[in-house]
Amino acid sequence: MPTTVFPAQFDYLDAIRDLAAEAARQASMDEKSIYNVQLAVDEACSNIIEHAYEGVTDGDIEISTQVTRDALIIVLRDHGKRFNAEGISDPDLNASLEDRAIGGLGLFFMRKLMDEVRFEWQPGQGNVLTMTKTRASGQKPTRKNNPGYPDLFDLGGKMLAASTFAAQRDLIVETALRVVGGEVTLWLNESAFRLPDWVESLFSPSPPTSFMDLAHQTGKTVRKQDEQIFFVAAPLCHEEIALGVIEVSRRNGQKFTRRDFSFLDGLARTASIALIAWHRVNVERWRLGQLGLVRTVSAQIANEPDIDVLAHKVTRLIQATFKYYYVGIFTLETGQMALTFRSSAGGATRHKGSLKELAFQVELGEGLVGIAALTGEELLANDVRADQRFRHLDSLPETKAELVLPLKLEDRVVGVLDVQSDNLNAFHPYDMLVLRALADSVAMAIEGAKLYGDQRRQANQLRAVAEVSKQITSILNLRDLMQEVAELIKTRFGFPYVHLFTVHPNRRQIHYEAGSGARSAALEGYILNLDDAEGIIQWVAKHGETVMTNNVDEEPRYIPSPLPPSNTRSELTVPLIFNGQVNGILDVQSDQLNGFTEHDRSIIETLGDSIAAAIRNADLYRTEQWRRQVGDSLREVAGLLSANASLDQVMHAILTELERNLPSDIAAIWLLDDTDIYCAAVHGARVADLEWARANYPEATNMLATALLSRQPFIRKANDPLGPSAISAGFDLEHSAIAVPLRLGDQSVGVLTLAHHTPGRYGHEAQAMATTFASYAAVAIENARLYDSSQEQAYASAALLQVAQAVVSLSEIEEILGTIVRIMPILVGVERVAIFSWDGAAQLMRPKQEYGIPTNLHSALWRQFSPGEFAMLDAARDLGEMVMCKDAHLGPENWLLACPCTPEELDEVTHSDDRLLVALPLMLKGEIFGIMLVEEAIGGRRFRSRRLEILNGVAQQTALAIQNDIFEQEKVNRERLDIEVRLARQIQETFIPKTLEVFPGWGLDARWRTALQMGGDFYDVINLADGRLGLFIADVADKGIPAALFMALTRTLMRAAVLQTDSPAEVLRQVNDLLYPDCEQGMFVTAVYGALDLVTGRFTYANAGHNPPMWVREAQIDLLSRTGIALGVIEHAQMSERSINLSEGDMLVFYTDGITEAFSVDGEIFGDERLMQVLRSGRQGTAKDILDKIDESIDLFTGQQAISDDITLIALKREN
Amino acid sequence: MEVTSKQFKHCDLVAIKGRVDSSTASKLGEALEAVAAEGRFKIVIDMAGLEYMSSAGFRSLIAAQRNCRRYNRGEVVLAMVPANINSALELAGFTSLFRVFADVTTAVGSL
Repeated sequence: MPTTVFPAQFDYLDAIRDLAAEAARQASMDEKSIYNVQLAVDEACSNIIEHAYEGVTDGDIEISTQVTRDALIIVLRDHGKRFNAEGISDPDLNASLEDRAIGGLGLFFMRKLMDEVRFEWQPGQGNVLTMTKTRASGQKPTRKNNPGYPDLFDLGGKMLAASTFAAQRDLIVETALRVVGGEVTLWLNESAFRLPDWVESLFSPSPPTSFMDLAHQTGKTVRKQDEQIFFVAAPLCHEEIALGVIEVSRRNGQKFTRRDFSFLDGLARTASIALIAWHRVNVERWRLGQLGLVRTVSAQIANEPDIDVLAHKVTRLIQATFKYYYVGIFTLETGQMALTFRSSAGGATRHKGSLKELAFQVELGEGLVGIAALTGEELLANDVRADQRFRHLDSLPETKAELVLPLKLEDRVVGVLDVQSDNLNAFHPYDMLVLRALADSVAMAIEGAKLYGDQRRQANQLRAVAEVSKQITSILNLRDLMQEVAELIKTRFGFPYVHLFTVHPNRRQIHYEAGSGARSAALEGYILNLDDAEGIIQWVAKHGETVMTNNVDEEPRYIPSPLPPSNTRSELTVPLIFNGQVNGILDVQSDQLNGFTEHDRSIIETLGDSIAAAIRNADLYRTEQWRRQVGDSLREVAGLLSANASLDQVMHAILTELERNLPSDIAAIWLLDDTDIYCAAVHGARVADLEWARANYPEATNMLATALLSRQPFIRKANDPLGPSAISAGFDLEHSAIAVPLRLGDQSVGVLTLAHHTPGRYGHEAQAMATTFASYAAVAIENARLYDSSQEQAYASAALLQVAQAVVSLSEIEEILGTIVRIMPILVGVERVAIFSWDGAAQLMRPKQEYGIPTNLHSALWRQFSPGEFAMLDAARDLGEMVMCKDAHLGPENWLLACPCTPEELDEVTHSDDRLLVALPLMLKGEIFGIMLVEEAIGGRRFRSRRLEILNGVAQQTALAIQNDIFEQEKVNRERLDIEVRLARQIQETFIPKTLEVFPGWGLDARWRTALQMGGDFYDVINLADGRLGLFIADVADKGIPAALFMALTRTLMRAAVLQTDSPAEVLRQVNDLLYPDCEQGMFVTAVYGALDLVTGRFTYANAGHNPPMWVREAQIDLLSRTGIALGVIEHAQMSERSINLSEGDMLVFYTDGITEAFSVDGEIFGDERLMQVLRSGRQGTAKDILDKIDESIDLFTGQQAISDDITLIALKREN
Repeated sequence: MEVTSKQFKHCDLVAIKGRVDSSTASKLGEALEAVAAEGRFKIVIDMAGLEYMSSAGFRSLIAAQRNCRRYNRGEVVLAMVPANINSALELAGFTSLFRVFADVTTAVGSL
């Protein structure tokens, strides 16, 4: 075998082709074959250069050629990449321009142009390509012999060697021509030879002439003569199979001889046998080819794990190989009622072009496909129009015949292979055999893929379970955990409706925690009752077993819930169990019937275990966090013990810390005060509301009392009586509450209460914690209380100091009282204050200052009160002690009706919860100055005794202030009086003669002494015309300024009158008439006026109601008695005058009642008689002497005591 | 191989002489692309002088045909195809993708 080596480069293709052409010529091939061999070799080398060496130019191609008797063999070797021809399918020659693949054409040419193409590869040797071109019979050198039997024998050999049907035909015709002669017509029954892969069509379906058909139908040689033309037709048959007819005709009258007939018969027999033999060989070859196809298909699909890819490949391969109109594959899942379409190929129509994929659903028993799937039997419809079972599809309009092969494994149908043809009777038995074999392979491959898919899905899910488990165990917040789990299950496992619950056995509740989907948000706070008789979730929570129902309508435990979907059809509910305890529920729902498989169940249950563990984890973490927080809180409270925090601060801190650690709507601290309990601090409610509940509901008081007396916290059970918090907040009988005594040693100082509106909130942990808190709290509270009480002392002192300060710093009493009533509510905690002053003279209580009395009540309350009108004021004034009344809550409008309690009731009232109305007398040393009325503020019971003490102190201060004011008032009065007196005296003094003239022969002296309460005495000495002397003495019946002014007026009138008349009576009359209009206030003046004739000693006088002057003579004293009524009393009063003659030694003494009405220490009056005695004993003396004596005796008589009235004296003596 | 092209009023005539194989096909492809690049998509390929064409040449023809037929803007037609090459075209199923004319005049007139 000659061998040539070429570099693997395209440039050498010319030379390679020349080599191939040379070899073909040596094999005596015709020009067309030579061209074809060149082309095949060119393509083979091009492939080697392009693909095996991939463009690397230093490779080489070794080409060997060999010409044998029958064929040309060309072997190409290269050392490039291994070539795998199986991976390259032939190009689709029917594809449109756009779909036409660019590659693969070279290999196709090689296969088509050469008779055999074989690729081999061995390590070290590389690719070996062997191509064989068989030499056609016609191309062999032919021997030219005489026609005869050898030709017939030769025919058999030649026919067996011929490769095509046409070659057979040509050989038969050629031999017939040679051995018989004439015109030869051959018709062969192609359908007897046709193999499915035949493309050439040489003969019509039936013999071309009726003559030939006769031979064909009868199976006998027939002859006929038509004019000069002789016909003979011999059938070709083999064992009853009619293979064809050969007809020979001769023109020109050339008859057929016996030898011709014999030859023709022999030819027919020989050809028949040869055809059959050739056909058998072909069938064999074809079968091998088909088996190769089955093998190829099986190999390609056996390891395909994806059913869809698998189905796609199978349908493509079958459709492309057999050129069927349509090939489809369906699969059937166990238990399903419908076939699932997987893939199809073909289905191109003349009108619509090629369809990408024809997808449709087939119910079991529907159409040929459905029936085959149901029965597991192969169905063949050679003419679908005649088959009732055929289901026409618009998308497959060309279908004329259909073959449906069930894909079976043992007796189980796993799918259907549907093959449709656009030809009637299209399915050759051989095709069916192959298709059956393929169907079996496909069934295996599908099952394999399915198993693989299941395994992979399970592996994926298990991996997802592992991943989900890993993800969730790292989340410590329960809420986040739940939400994450719901989302993960939704996204990783494709269950759209996932909900998670926690189960709370103590509280008998199931709480919704998280869910996937938008509608889940509406379920926030959704709570189920664990004890409900119905409901899958409740059942699972109680029994700890999974419930899977694929049709909720058939599940008695199912009740519709607000969980989406609203159209739940299937539900899978898994308990989350840790340590034998159901701590949660995982609920998955589907809106499909049969939504869950056993596999889903096992996956979800596996997940459930992980979730339960994660919940437990999160729970432990939360508990640990909680413990730490409790620790922090306790430290916080303990810190308060050492800080000087007030009681209020401490209590609020305790409540705040408790609320941080325990669920609580209302947290309150109740403290024991003397004998009673009161709400000292509260969070979540108002003190007043709790106090109201405690005061009005005995069960509330009982609850507090029970807790106070017990040593252990008291946890409320459902249906126990309600406590004060629950009453005030309106909680129902199910609510939770805990009451913890605050104990210091053996003593209870109060109660700590917590209440929550939902049931079952307080358990052992709450109890333990509350107890710890309570013990800390008790100490802290007691500490704060001690601190507060010392503060309170300081505060009371401060309050009193404030009041005292106000009293001292302010001068105006109204201002002081105003300040006191204003600061009292701030300092003492009272609601209203009123201070009344007592006017003993008028017997009236007068309003002084108030705070807090509503304006609309002022007309009723803020006025003067006489005794008997206001019982509280009367009682305090009468008793001189504080009185109380517990009706303050009735409001100030009812104060007038308030009755002070009796002394027996006092103790009870002092400890009453009611607010008190207190009246405090403002007293000093038994003297009452007024009343202070006080109404306690709300919560007045606290610190009451302390408050009352402070109130007493304030009352004392107030009394002191009022007394001070009174003193002040008196002092002012006194000062005013002094000034008045001084003024009056100054007025008087200006009128009283400062010096007395000395008149010869006459002694004259006067005295004018004013008393403290100044009187209205005065005198005057007037030098009258004609040498006379007027003497005037008067006493205005008043004191002070008015008296002084009146005196001035009287004197002026006197002075005027003496100028008009000489008659003293007339003078007094005139004065009287002029005074009278000014004397309306009952003022009057007593006066004596006399005119003395200094020469004669005659004295004419008038006495208007004045003390009679005394005329002292040697032996007797005469009184110059009244001559008329006092001046200013009546108008036009009668006035007369008298005259006396004063002798030498005679003396006249004028005086006012200040002399005669002077009092001794014993209260004795001086009197006229004592005066006359002084005059009698001293009549020898001068005027001055006698006045001195009178002064002397008066002083003696009155002693140290000041004179009570003015004293005025005039003495006139006619000297010897 | 030798390629010559000639512009007519409404189409181009491309004449191929010699042999087209893997080493020369690219030259044919470039020649056809050059015509199309001028916006001329109606092409007659005169194969009278063509001695040989392998699948590489066929690929160039297909590429040119695709380019020219796009948007219905033109077509590549074949004229004077030698018998051997025609057989190969038939074998490759190209006769359904290209109109084949016995002479250049008819081919030019068909466009």
